[in-house]
Amino acid sequence: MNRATFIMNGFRRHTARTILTLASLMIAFLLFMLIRAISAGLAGGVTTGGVERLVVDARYSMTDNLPMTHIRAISELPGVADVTPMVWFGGYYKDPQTTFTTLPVDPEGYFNVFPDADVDPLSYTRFLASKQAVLVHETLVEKHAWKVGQVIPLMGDIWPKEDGSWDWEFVLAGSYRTAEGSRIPKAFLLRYDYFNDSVVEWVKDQAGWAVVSLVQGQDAQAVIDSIDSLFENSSDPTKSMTEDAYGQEMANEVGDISLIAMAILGAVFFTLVLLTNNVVSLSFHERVAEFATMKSLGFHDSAVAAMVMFETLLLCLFGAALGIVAGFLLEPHVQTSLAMVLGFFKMTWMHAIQALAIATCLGIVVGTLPALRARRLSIAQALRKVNG
Amino acid sequence: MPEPIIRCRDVTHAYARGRHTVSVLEQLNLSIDSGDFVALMGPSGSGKTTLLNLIGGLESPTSGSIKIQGLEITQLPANSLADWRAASVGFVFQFYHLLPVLSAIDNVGLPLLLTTLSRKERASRAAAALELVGLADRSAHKPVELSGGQQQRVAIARAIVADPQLLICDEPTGDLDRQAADEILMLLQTLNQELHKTIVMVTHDQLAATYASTVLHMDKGCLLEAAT
Repeated sequence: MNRATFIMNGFRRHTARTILTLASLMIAFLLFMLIRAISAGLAGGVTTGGVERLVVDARYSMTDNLPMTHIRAISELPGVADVTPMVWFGGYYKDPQTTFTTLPVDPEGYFNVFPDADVDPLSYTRFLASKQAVLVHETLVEKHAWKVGQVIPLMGDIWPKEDGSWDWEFVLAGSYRTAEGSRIPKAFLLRYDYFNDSVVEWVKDQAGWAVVSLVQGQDAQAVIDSIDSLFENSSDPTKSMTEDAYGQEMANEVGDISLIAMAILGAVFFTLVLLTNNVVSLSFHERVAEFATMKSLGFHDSAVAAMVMFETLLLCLFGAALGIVAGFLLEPHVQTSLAMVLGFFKMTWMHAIQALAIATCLGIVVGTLPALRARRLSIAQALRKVNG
Repeated sequence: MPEPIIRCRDVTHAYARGRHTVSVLEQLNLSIDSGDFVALMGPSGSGKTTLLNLIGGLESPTSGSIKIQGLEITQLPANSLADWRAASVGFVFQFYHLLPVLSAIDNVGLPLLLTTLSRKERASRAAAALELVGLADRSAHKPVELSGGQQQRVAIARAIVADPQLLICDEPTGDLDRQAADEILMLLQTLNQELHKTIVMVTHDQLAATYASTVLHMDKGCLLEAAT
């Protein structure tokens, strides 16, 4: 036995209690890892792959549409390299729980605007060849095990078809890939012209918003000004901004959710402080005679206090480490679904370091009082009390 | 004339209880020679355990002088006093106070963690101490797997493992049946006679006192007559 194994033996005193405390800590730190990754996603912790793009939306509400004449006019402005209309399609696959980002886009314009979306030539050729064709992000194709040429039915829930039905059918042309951390949505891309041909009359020739790519070296603000001033006096004025600014604005829209998530986390950790404190205090009271005995054998007051503090820190850090490991193990499973919503979901080592820092603080907060009491413990009084 | 191993001079000890001060020891004087086996007897509240605690450096007197092997322990700072206890005194308590998560040999080896001995040397000395108290075959057992008498033997092995000159025993047989008590007392007598340990033992048991070479009686914080 050495001092390290002596301390480790302490955790075997009440195995069930140790396991339950570690489980509580693990769950709290797993929650921390998840919420930190979600917050990072909401804050737009993503890259644009070095491509400068603008997002053009209706000025007064993101639910207003833009006429397609706007999109064509934008494409002719100086400094604009390409433009694609985008529409939020909604809908679901098979059952209302199976949803994903579905976007009608300009088949050529989209991949010009998003050159960082990687599609193989054959798939792209098939996409251009048929109006009913769709290109789908590889994660979705893999998840649903779709095959090229397969007919994929979607049930609309925003846009009815011209014939009054809500049943849409598409044919899979292939898949596309995006780099890790890319802002490009992992979406189900259908052709705008097919959407426009099929959709009910009152939606035709309209887009939800547009994404514009700029000519290399072009001043983004100058193009923003020229777009917004062009439609200043129209019935559909626009609000243009860079993709980064748009992402930040979207994040701010859901900022309260982030705040609520952080508040929940705060409550969890506050409860955890009370819980861990309770466990450590209970353990201290049970071991008063042991600490007194150790001191009688010649252990210094500071050594006994350090042992109590070290045990508490070790408990908190081990619990946090379990939570971190569980987080990283769970990440691939939750990433696919959360990335659909957030555009970006990734746990990082920075989150892990933050978790360990919190665990250290937790250990210090919870362990300080018992450590001080162990330090001040009078041997004679403690033994007298225990011996009755 | 040789210097006694324990010399208490005008030792007074009192503690506060609420607004009142309770006097436990009053101007107590005591000398115990090296190699002596002293039994301290007296009614509850007479100050026996307090005197034992003061001699063992577990608490400090309100006033007076306590010299152990010529060292004035009342003047030692807390850490020096702890170091002195580790090197010079072994404690045997009524309720053993073994650490429940440690095996018998690890309990015995616990004081050796404070030494510079190697792991192998510590294990060897702990095993030798267990052998001495007749529990070599129980070294891997946890305290809960041992009888009361066996636990007290482990506690005695722990008290002697660092080879201190002085053993302080606070009612070491108080929680044992007669047979186990006699075995423990014989073990203490052997340590006193063969290893020349000086033993100061508090007991209420007249039979236990017969194993000692000197019996001191206390009452109301004062020493009464000594019987040898």
